[in-house]
Amino acid sequence: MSSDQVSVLIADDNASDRMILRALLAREGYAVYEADDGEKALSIFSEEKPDVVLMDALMPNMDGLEATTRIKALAGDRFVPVIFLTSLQEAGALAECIEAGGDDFLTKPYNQTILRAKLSAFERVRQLNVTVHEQKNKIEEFNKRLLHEQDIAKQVFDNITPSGRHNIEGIKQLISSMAIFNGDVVLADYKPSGGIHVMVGDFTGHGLPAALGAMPLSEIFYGMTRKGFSLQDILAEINKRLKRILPVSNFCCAMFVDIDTVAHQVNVWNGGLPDALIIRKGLGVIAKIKSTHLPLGILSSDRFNASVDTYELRKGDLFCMFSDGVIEMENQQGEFFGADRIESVCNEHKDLPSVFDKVVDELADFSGTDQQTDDITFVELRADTLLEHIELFQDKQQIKRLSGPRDWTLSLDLRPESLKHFDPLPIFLHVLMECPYLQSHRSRLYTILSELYSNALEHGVLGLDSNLKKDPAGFASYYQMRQQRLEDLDTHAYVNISIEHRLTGDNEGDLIFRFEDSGKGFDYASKLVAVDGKSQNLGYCGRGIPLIRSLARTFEYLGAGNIVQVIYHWNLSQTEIE
Amino acid sequence: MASLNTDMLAELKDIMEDDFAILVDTFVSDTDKRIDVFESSMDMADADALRKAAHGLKGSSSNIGAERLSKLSADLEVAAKEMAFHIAIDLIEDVKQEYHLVRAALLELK
Repeated sequence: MSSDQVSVLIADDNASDRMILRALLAREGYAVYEADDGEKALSIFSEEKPDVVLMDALMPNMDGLEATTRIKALAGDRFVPVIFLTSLQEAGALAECIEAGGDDFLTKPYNQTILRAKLSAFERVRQLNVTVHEQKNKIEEFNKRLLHEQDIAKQVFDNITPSGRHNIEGIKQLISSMAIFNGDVVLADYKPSGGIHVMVGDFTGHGLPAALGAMPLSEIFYGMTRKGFSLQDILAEINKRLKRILPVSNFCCAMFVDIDTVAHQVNVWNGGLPDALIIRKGLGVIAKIKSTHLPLGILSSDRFNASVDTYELRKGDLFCMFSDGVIEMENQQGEFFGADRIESVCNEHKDLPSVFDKVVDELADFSGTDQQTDDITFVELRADTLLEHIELFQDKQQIKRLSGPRDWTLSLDLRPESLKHFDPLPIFLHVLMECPYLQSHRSRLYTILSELYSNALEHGVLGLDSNLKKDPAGFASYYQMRQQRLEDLDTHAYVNISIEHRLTGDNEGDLIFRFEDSGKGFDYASKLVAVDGKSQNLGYCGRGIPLIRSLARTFEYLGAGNIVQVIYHWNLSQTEIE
Repeated sequence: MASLNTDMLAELKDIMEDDFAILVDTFVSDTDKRIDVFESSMDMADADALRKAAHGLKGSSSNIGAERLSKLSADLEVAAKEMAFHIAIDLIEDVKQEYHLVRAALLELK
């Protein structure tokens, strides 16, 4: 039998009737199997899987009704028309055939035209059924594969985007997604200089398309934060990347919070997220930080603005951020949760050390259902705990082996255009961190580099007096002058930075920082002051130099006072925490 | 009503081609067996066996164009179903008589 030939099983105990039917079917091109009782019909059906069954109702050894019920069960999803061969006239008997699973009747005497019409009608139904069945299987297969792929993608995604997996005390978050993938993302990490970066992002849409953008965002956030880049640099980079990779109508509403644990302040950039709230103990909500920027991924780099608003952060303060999903959460009556409700919950519990649980409870009470229409994110930062993170970023990894470059010199000569626009610190820090033995010294090295560079640039090249910074008005004019003088920089201005490393033992070494600037220097010899019975050169005002002195082995001015050399000593037994 | 529907038989001959003779033989031997069942089921007052045999003959005779035989078988089937053996006994005689006519006509057509 060729595979496209339709096959028919005739089950009838009447030999002459079978002969006639077989002859009729053969003329129509069907392949024919014959059975003379119900049991044989069933066994032929299981073996040969015919496409159509013509069934006599009254047969010995299992009648046509039972055989039909069993055949339909065997066929499962496959549509196998069963046509009863009958001279039965009574309605009751016909109804029994239909109940047993029969699809139609063919009455005796057989008529070629009627038989042909019925079979071709069922053949069309059968073909349609085969097609539907194939498509259903394809869809099932596809769906299975899709879920499997999503499962794997989810694992990769979670590894790349450890949203909510940072382990920073004082940050609490609720992230609830409406699909496997979440379009909301919460990222937090320590800065090498101390302090913490926190970012909340809410991508347009839900599920996988929304979540995809979270991967580069997360990579850039963590990579650049650890290398010491500023909030502005990181936001600009994220915006640039998202602008390039996201489709036109997709973007990311985001809030970037830079917690300065030394100055006790937060710098906040809000692009499209609902107002963040600062809640002061006993007072309630004292500040609402509105969105003043377009979301990330919309503006081109030259139009992107990463300016921040700065707020004081006191111990006991709470800083709360929400995604749209919270504000727009609907209850069963179709009301929105709304920003006011959050604010009143915060005010109501203004004496508590944390409002997190109260807000989460309120959200659960309000929705009263598991149905979620958007990704929901709520983050609470507790100043109490976070401000204690003054201890700088700790890289707890023990360096087992002395690998990486051992004896080397790195120098960089920065000219006016670079001084105006370029921050060299991340590059230096990046190179230093390529030396495994220096990794646990990251925060100290960053402090030394940043203090030396700002001294060389601001006091050396620009000739600014740090005494100006002693009062708030002077602070502002200091930065005005800094900006002005940078713009007017003459072509001979430079800062030359060199870092040399040499091993001083099996497990120890010296880093020699040498910063030379184009400034006129100063009379450092006259500023020697006795401290602890020793002569020390205090140089400029401010806390920077004493800080470096406390970290470094030696600190000295050279030349006309426009050169400073600092030797930092490390050894492997030394621990970071003191 | 004639014993055989000649139009239908002509068509049947056309359909069966060379197998027509076999069909006739098959019909005859099946019917002979059924007539035996009629007799024995009457002897044992087995209405169900009688009904099934009558039902079978009703179908096979209609397919072979023996319309009157089919009609008599249908009557016999009803009688069996109603356990009306006194009617059945007469109908069996009518069936046998009609079958002789049909068989003779069929064998002639072979």
